Amino acid sequence: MDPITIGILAFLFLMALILVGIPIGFAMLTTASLGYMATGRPSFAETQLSLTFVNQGQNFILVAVPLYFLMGQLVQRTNIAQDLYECVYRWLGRLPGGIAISTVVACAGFGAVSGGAVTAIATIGPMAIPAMRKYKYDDALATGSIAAAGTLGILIPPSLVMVGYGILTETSIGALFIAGIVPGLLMTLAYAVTIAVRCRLNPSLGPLGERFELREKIASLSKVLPILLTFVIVVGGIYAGAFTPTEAAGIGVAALLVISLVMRRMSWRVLGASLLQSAQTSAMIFIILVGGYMMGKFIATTGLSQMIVDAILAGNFPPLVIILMITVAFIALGMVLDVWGMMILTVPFTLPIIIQLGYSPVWYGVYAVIMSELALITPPVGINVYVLAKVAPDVPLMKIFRGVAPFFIATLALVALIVFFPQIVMWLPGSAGMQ
Amino acid sequence: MRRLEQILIVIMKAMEYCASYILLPIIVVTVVTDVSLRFVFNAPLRWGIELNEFLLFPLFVLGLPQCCRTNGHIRMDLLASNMPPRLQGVFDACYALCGIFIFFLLARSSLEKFQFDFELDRVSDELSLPLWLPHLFLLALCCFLIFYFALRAVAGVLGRAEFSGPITVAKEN
Repeated sequence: MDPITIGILAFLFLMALILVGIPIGFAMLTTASLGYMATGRPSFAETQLSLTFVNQGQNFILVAVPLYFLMGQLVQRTNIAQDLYECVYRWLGRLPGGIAISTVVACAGFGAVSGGAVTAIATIGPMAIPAMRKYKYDDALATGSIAAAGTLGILIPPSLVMVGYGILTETSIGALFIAGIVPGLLMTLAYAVTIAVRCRLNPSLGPLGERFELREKIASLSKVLPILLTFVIVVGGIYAGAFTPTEAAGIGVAALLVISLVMRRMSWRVLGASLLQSAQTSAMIFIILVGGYMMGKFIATTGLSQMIVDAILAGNFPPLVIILMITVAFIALGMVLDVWGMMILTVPFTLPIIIQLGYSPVWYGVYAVIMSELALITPPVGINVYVLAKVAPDVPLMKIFRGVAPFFIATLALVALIVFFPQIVMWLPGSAGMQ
Repeated sequence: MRRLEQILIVIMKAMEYCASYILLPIIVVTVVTDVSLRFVFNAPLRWGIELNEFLLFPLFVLGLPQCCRTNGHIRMDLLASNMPPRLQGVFDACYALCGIFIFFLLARSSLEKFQFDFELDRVSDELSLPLWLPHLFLLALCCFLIFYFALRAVAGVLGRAEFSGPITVAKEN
C-alpha cells in the first residue's frame, strides 16, 4: 500500500476513534503508531512514540504550560479578577448595556493574566449574572456576552493555545503572544460595540447601570493595578526581549504570589488548590500536544499533507477563496470539537497551504486561534455555553446560543479584517523585531 | 474489584500530589531564581534549565493516571454519550485498548533506552543526572498504566463502572 493511501486510511481511522469518544490525544497516538507500523517500520513506531514523549516532556518551552495555568488559578482564587470587574463596572456601567460591556472588558483583563478561557467565565460569570439580573438585562444578551467574552482569554496573551500552536509548528511563541495583542483588543472593542449598538437600538435589552461619583471611579482604579502590573511584567518583558515566554510565566507566577501575599489573599489552601488544578490540566494538555505532534509528523511522512497542498494549489483558487474554505472548515469542525482538538487536527493540514499562499505562520497562528475560539461558543458542543449554563441554570441552553450569535458574527468580521489587512496582526511583532 | 480500585486511586492521587506539591513548586522556584540571578548578578543558574527539563517530564506524566481515571482528557463524546450504557462500556474498552497499545510500545522502547543509557552510564551535562532515570521512570509508569487500562477494559466489557470516573465533555483551565 502506498504511503498516501495509508495516510488517508489513518485519517479515517482517527476520525472513527474520535467519534466513539476516545480522547483525542490517545486517538492520535494510536493512529500515528499504527500508521508507522503499516508503513513497514514497527520499531520506528516505538522509537517515534518514545522520542516524542520524552523529548516533548523535557522541552523547556513546555514549562510554560503549568506555569500559565498556575497564573490563571491564582488570579481566580485570590479574587483579583473580582476587583477588576468591580473597577470596570464603575467606569462603564452607565453605558448602554454597560454591565455587559464591563463583563467583556473584565474577561479581556482576566485573559491578560491567564492562559485559558473557561476559567474567565467561571470567575466573572457568577458576579456578572446577578448584576445584570438586578437591572433586568435580557437573558440572551447577558449570558451570550459572558460566553463570548470568555473566549478572549485564548487570544489575548499569554495564551496557552498559542503555546501549543507554537510548539506544533515551531513558531516563535513570543511573536505569537505579541501578535495577539492588537486583534485581542479589537475583538474586545468589537464585542463592546456589538452590545452598545444593540442596547442603543433596543434599550430594554440592557438598561443603564448604577451611577458612581468620579471619586469612587478613581478610587477603584487601584484595584486594577495587580492585573495591570502582572500583564506589563509578563507581556512587556517578552516584548522587550527581557524574558522568553517560559521565563515570563515563572515571573508572572512570582508576581501574582507576591501581590496576593501583600493583599493578604494567599493561604495554603488557595496555593494548594491552584497547584493541584494546574498539574491536573497540564497532564491533559501534554497528551494532546504529544498526540498532535506525532500525528503531524506521521501525516507529513506519508506525503498526505503535501498532496492536499498540491491539489488545492493546482485548483488555482485565489488565496481569499482558500482562506474562506479553511474558515468554513473551522466553523464546521467547531461544532464537534473543542479548541485544542481543532487546533491539533487542522494545523498539520492547513499550515503548509497557508505558507504556500505567502502568509506568515505567526499570522496564521492568530487566525487559527480566533477561529478556534468560535468552537467554544458554537452549538452543539460550545463548552463556554455549557459552563455558563451551570452559572445560570434557569436560562435555557438555546437562549444562550441565541445570545452568542451576534458575537459570533462580530468575530467573523474581525477575521475578515485580519485576512484583508494582515498587518493588523503583524505590525506589533514586526516592531519588536520578531517576524 | 472495588478494593483494587481503591488501592489504585490512592496510588494515582499520591502521584498527582507529588507532581502538584513537589515538582511544580520546584520548577517555579528554579525559573524565578534563574531569571532573577541573571538580571541582578548577571549570573544565571547554569543548571536551571537542565533541572527544569528533568522535572517537567515527571510533572506531566505523574498526572496522567488520575487524568485517565477521571476522564479528564479532551474528547468528543457527542455520539458516545448518547449510546446505550452497554455500548458506552464497549467504547470505553476500546479507549483502554488504545491506552494499553500506546503504553506497551512506550514501555518496550523505554526498556531498551534504559538498558542502553544504564550500561554506558550516561549522565547529563551540568548536574550529572543519570540519563537512564527518565526511561526507568517512564517504564514503571507504563507498566502501571497498562495494568490500570487492562482492568478498565475488563470492567468496560463487563459493563461495570469501576476504574472510570464520570465522563466529562472537556476540562480546560
